[in-house]
Amino acid sequence: MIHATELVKSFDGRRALDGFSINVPRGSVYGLVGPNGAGKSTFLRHAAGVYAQDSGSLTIDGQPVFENTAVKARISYIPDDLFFFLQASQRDMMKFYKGIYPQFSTERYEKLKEVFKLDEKTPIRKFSKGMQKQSAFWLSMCMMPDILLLDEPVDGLDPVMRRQIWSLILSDVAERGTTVLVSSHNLRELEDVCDNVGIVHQGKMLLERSLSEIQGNTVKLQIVPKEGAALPEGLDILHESSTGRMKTLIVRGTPSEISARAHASAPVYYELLPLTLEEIFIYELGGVDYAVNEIIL
Amino acid sequence: MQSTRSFFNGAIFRKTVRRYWPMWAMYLLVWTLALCVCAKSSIRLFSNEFWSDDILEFTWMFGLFASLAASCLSAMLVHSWMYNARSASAYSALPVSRASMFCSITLAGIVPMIACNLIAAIAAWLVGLFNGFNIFLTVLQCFLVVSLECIFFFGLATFCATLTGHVFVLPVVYTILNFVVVVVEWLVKYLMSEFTFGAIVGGIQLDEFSPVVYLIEHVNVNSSPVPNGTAHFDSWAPFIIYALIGIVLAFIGLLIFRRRKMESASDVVAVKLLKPVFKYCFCFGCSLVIGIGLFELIFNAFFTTGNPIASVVICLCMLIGGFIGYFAAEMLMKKSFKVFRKSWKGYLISGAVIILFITVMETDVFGYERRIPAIENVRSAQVELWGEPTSFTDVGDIADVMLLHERIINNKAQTEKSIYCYYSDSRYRAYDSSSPYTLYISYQLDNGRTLDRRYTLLYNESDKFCADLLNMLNQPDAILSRINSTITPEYIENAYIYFHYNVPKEQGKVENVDENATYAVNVSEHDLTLPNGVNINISEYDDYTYIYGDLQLTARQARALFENAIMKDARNGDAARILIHNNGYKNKISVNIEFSARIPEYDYDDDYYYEYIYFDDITEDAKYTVAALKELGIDLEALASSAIE
Repeated sequence: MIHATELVKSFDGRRALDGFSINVPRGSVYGLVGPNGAGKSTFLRHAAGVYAQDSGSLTIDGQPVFENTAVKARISYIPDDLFFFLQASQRDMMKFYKGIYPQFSTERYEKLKEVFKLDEKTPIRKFSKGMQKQSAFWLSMCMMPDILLLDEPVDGLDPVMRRQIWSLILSDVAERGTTVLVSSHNLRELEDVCDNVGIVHQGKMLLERSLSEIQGNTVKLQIVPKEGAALPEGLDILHESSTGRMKTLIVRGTPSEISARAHASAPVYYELLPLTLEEIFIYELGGVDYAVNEIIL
Repeated sequence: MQSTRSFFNGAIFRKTVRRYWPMWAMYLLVWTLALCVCAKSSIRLFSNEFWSDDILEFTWMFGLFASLAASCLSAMLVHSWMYNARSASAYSALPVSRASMFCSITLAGIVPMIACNLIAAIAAWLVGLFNGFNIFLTVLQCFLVVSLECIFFFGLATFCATLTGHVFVLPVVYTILNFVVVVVEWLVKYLMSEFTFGAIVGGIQLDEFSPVVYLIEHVNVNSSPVPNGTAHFDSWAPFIIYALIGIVLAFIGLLIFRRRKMESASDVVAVKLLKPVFKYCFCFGCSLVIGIGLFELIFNAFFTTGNPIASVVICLCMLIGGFIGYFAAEMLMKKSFKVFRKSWKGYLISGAVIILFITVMETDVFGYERRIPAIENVRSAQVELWGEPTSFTDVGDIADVMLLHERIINNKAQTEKSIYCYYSDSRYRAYDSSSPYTLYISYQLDNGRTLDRRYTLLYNESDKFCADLLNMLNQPDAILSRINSTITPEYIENAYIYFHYNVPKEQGKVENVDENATYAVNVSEHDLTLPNGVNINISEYDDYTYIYGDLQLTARQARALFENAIMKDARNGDAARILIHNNGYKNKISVNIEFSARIPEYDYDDDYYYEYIYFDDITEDAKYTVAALKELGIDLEALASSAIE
């Protein structure tokens, strides 16, 4: 649905996107992860039609986004830095968006009052950060979007509200086929909701797979080789650490393949463990020199 | 599939108008009060006369400055969303085309102002009706003129809004664009007057590029021909043309906005292509303003007129100004103070251009100093000395002017040296009989343009040039051309004769006071009026006594003096002459005559205006005038016998 090819975008000579490509399937929840300054927010702004790329193409359902009001009417974008008019209340913002978005649903707005228990008449600037985020979600869901772009969506929300909001979003995905593109550093949470994941680094897409595929393609191998014996051959090791004789390896490959190789080396002990998304993130990026550095102070 | 193009979004328009309601409320309040108070006071003061002039005059002038300020403020408010990254991002993400966004917001900035103008005009009309006058046509003109002014200024402000990414840069750019041409013109002319022989810091030629200046200089309100009638502008063209220009500027702003990168929010210059333009314009602008300012404030106190190294000094000052401007612009654009290391090459280029500019002016590469138009292209020539312009239309006279002009140009080096010596050496001034004077020469050309020059020359009694110049200016035809031809004897209402002279201190008593003609040569009282009507005032000083006298003439006496004395002498070339040194009657008595005339404005009513004509420093050559004064009781010959030079 959202398809970008070789996007390039520079700011004052610095390339924020450097040949960025992505493919977000329709009706999926796509998690965009990466280190700080990787280009995640920049891409989201391109997808929302805020920025025009310097080169490359970006389409949604085959249509370019920039200056395309028909496409943008189907998109709802919640940035990490929220916007609202200085004196506006929730009600004021609702009226404003209602006049702009053709699919805006007042009925849904009224229903969601039960979920987001915010005072409609209080200026939004007087809300806490979490409440402002709730306000943004409330309005966003009422736009009945086909595409939801979320930049650090649940930052500032309490655990109950986080669950509530994800429930609403996933409900829309299931019932209306909404496509969600979410950027977040909260990988544990993304792991629970995402179908697909893209890891971004230095303006490029490093890795783009379904979550199950990623988790199925990288394995944690704990192995105790025989005395004096080498590690099993043919392993694509992303990371290696030791605790006494026990070696913990992060290896790229299918569990069956890795198990076979480990077994072939006849170690004293070996076990395969699944990786969390956070661990995959850390170890994949470690392969491109973005790793945790051991610093002695 | 792309959406069909639209240029208006009601939600954005309404939201923008409502957000800034305090601005519209304040504008409405100020305008309504101003217009209603003006209408009420004009009607009260000028009822049964010409209140319409008063209202219109006030409205267009007040409206000029009110719309200048209000339009800038309105643009800053309605376009402020572009200057903050958060709001720029949010607006850009909306499903509204840029054209629609821009047009809706721009209309939201101008429509309320025009609505306020309309409400204020209606309120003023009601005030007029309440006071018994239907001032509909007058307030209609008020509404139209102020609205046209608003359209221009808001169009310009909107254009400025698209050039920058910072809200406080908008008013700076707006102010600069409103006045830059006239300011630069004046500054360049100032520089030329310092370095270019004959250059004149004259009137503004390019005022069309500054609507404020142009409208103030060229707009006239024509009075109503009848009492309680409606005044009108002599032309609506300037207002309409500027309003159209405002619309064009707003349209250009739209074209720029459609290509705007939203990441330019908070940048001083939002359009990449304009960044070097801004940098170098700022550099050269600062070199002019700061450079000339530095020179005037600091160095002018230490350098006398004509000093040959003044050009070097001003060049240095401009280089300093250019340095400040160039690196200040770099700092603003890069938002950093660390700009010197990487940007110095650009400053070197700017500095070279500044030096080249001064060199071109100093060396007169384009031949400005030597330019004299071809005689066949000249309609008339004017020579002005001591504030008295003399016009020549005869080909022979124009040729004489050109010959004199050529002599001045050929003698440039000697003139500049003499002037420098005069101002730099006080001994030179004390013992030499030279004194400086300023001569203006102006040619009116067939193509409607003028060629103006100004020269500071040094007068010397033995100077043949001066003698030739005065001879040309004091020909009878030249003298008559200087006298105001609208004043004819039948319009003269009265005249005043003023005279003063000094007598030795030891002379003190009034003697021989009688009503026939002469009055006392020696006086003892300080203020007295003689039987012949002459008023005398006496002031005593250490070495001498100063005597001042004046006499008012009746209309009959004034007309007789004018027709039978002054004008006769003028036709003979003996009065109204221009002299370099003129110490009056026999270099002892200063005699000045002022005639006032009441001239009807229109042929068919009682409106009129006053004109004055002055004849200063009557000399002994004006025989008819001297005789007439004697008959009136002022015997100059008798006075001169005891006066001291």
